[in-house]
Amino acid sequence: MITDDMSDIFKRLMHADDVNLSVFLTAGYPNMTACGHLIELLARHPAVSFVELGMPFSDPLADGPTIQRASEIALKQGTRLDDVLSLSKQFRSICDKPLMLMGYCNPVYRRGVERFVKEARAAGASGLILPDLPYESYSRDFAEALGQEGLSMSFFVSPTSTKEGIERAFETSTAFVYGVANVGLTGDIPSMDRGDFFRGLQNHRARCPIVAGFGIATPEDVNGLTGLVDGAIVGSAFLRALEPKNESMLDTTSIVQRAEDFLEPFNLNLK
Amino acid sequence: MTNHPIIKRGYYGDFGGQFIPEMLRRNFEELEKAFNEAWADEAFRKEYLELMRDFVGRPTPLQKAERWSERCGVEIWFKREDLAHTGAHKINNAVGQVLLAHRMGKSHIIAETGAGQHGVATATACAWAGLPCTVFMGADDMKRQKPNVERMRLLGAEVRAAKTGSMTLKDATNEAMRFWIANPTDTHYVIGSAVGPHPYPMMVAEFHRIIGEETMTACARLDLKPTHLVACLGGGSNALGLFLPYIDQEIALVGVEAGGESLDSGRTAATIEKGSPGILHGAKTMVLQDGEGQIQEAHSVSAGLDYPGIGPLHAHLAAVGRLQTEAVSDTEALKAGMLCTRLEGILPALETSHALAWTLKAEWKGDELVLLNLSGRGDKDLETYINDHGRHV
Repeated sequence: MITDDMSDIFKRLMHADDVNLSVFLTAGYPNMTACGHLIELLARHPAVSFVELGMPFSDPLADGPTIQRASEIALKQGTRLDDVLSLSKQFRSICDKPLMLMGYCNPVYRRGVERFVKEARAAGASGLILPDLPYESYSRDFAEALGQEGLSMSFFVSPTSTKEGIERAFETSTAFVYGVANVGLTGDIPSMDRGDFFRGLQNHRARCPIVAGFGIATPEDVNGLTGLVDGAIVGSAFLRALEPKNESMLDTTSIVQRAEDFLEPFNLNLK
Repeated sequence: MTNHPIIKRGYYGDFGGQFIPEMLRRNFEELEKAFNEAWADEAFRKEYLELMRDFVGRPTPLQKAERWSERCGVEIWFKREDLAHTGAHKINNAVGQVLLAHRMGKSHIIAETGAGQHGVATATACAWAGLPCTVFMGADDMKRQKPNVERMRLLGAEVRAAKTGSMTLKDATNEAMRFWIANPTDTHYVIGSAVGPHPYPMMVAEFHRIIGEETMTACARLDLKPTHLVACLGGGSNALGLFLPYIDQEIALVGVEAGGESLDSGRTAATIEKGSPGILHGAKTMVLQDGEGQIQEAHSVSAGLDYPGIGPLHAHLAAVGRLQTEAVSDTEALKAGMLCTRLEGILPALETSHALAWTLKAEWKGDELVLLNLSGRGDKDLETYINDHGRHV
């Protein structure tokens, strides 16, 4: 369904004054069946502008306990890269919102970069986010393949980034720059003033949209970034809401219900 | 040194690199700069070498293993790293990195540990330096290596259980990296083997180079012309320490991996033999992984060898044919360890027993001269040896 260049889609999307909500979901969590329903919910939900679909990895270095556990559960149930791609396909059959595949380098290299990029494109994905991919490896192994398939790539800036690091992220990213809104891991409670960090990035924003992530959990967190970023990603908080805490919370209806309940307050952001 | 001709932009041939999240990039830039400056600074070297002598007890002896040689049918000498303070070579790197961290103005040290040897070494160096220390250890390993956990605590370190994944060394390393991401400014992470993102593999190797240098000096004094260097391979630090000064010389370098139950059982830690190129803990190296690129658990009777990766420099040396790799099984290692205890009066660490086991089964012509890195003592493995001994008596 996507025929346009993803970077244009992002630019259009990001043009709005409000902070676009993105939701991160680990593929295969809490189980493959429920995940299929969740990806449909995200595709249809009016509050959700775009989606990060997590490709589970055995050793997720930058992730806090929630996404670690979600990846572990997904892998234990046998979630494979093919399942990730089929969830992407399912999402694309419903909507044209951007969908980024987010994970770590090793499974992608194992699959073969060119092959994976082609498969991702065929599954309707908009781009990739690989936090442990070095810039040199991107230029050597990914840039051409992604360009040919019209897929985007996002790089990170964090409060510890050097000036050169920030420069490079804005120069190289083709979807948006992922702004790590905390000194910490995904899902950690913020230990810093996000506003200050993002204010310092404003003069780069015209070149590439900024999307905030890490420790963003509530509509207040998202609204607090108005005017500073183009989007905000809610990940760990969403997965925590899905987590089955007892037997009665295991069935798909109940999981999807909890996802809807979680997203409900974000609707208030819609004008 | 990090400007060794083997290294290009943090790569050792095709292996190495820095596959790290942006949140750690500044730390790695600072670390590489600080290490290069320190290592070129006479005053730093002097302090490090004085500590090696007075605190660690170096040089360690190079001893002819008479009865072991007789049993193997070839002349074998032991480099007695088991006699270094805390009972293994690990202390060289721990002291070196803690000194470096101090110089960088860091106020908190973290480390990962598998069997507990590196954790004990780091806790020891931190006690000496008066720096707070946090050691991450797999929850499973904490149960298996309880005395070392207590020992670290006695030394004033905090031991934190890694409860994710396989709850072993691999997961402790993840936890330490994560802690560093969340506490980047005041913390230094002392990695315990020649693994991880650049500059760690080379830096750890440099702090262990003293093993090979002392060996060279002793060989000159004793007029020995070694033909083979043998060491066990987990992450690979003791092997690299011995091999490093010899890399450009005509001498066989043999790394002995932990075959586990057996090479084809799927329960192995022989990463170079059974692995494939992949990315783990921030470096491209040989890893045990499945077809989907998920890292597999490694298995070995030795908690210090059950790591599903290997130093990238070793991966490179093996790929270009400079490093010969061999594997021995759990059973062979246990037997060799017991035999060494009886023949030489040295109870070796289970890791070291793997290197010993290979010298027993290798085919020797008889005119070779073998130097074996006796990397650690086996007190920590007493229970495993005793249980195994009980089964055979």
